[in-house]
Amino acid sequence: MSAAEGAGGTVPRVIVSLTMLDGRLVRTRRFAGPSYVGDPINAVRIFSEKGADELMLLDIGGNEFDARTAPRLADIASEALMPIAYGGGIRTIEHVRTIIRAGFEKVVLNTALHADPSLATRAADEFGTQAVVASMDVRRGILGGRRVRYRCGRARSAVRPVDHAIACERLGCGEILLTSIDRDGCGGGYDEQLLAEVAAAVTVPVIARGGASSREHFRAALDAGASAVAAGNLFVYWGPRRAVLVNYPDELRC
Amino acid sequence: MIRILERIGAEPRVATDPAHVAGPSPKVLPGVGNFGHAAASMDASGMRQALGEVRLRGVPVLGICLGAQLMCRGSEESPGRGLGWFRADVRRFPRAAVGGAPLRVPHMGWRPVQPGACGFPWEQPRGRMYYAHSYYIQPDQPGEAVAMEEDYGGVRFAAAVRDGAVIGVQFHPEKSHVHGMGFLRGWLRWAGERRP
Repeated sequence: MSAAEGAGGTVPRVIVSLTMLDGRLVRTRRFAGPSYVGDPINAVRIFSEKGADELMLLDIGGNEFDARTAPRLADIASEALMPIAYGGGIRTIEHVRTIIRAGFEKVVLNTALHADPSLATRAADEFGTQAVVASMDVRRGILGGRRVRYRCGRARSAVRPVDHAIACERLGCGEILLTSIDRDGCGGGYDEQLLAEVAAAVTVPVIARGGASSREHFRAALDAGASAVAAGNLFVYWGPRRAVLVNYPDELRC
Repeated sequence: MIRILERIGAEPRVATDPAHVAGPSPKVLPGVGNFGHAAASMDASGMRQALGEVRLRGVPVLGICLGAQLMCRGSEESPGRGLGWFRADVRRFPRAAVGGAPLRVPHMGWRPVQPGACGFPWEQPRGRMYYAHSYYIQPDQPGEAVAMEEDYGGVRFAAAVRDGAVIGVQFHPEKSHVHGMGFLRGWLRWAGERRP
């Protein structure tokens, strides 16, 4: 049974995931070589006008969340007429409150799920499980086994993706953002095997991320068990003469 | 919520004190969070009684998501007493859909509004609405006070309930692009004509 059937009338979400470094939008390839693509406020405004299903704004600097950025985040969130999530350096419940108060519906936790797992539970108790997204970045090892990484992909762990996903669900996370570092920025499609394994192990929605460059990739991820698909480069890309284009074409809807 | 109401030309004010809801202007009861916490917070702030009076005066109230669930009696999410305006309880979606396949919870995403499905006393909303919830409103009597019904994995749930001037919606109009803004415009116009 496909995810679309299982959702019973709920349209699979096509989520725009934007990565940010020092307050500017960047794109990466396998989590490396960030290149500047634009201003987040502008991009969020355009995606909102285009009627994008949902947005995720992920700061990949690796620093702890700085509450002094809250006014700027509130400006970004105020452009979104759709759900918008924020991730990056969230370590304390006070960080979570600041981000929700700035106008984001969801917080995306990643490193905190290793450093202080109870944060997810406390955030879910206060704001509901639908407000807490567990982000897991997965990389294949030399022998082919997949392991979870954290600290923006820089820190290795011995944790298997399926085990981590089950733990995150138990903590109270309402969604799993499952990113394949190996596929990030490559455009060859999602890691469907990874998606299928994780989606079968949990009952919360799983969002596919890393590698999409076409609607066929979306369909394949949904068929593998994902409830939603996320992409960045597909929507923010280099046009002729390296002009940055931001788009969310209707033909990519699922 | 505030931003969206401003965008459609309303002048929303945040009520932090029971005295703030005394006037005849329409009220929005939004909600993100936990049923029990919110119920306890209504008691601590005196908002429970103030909202009860708002309802008795016939002032239009729109509850959104948890705000709509709070208009029911209680929730499987956590202990705590709702406002009890609807003869309904709030239940958790089951782990499996009708037919046995696993049901993804929270139910999260966009659903097109079914033509003719809505019993709102203004023009039928169009387009699609955003949902993000693990719990749903189940009236004692199937269909009672239900203004819009939806189905998730074979579980029928009230996407909207209405009794007089009180309306509760499970979806998030404030997060549903122009579709949600259209819904809120329709509600505001109706509420403006209806206010006592």
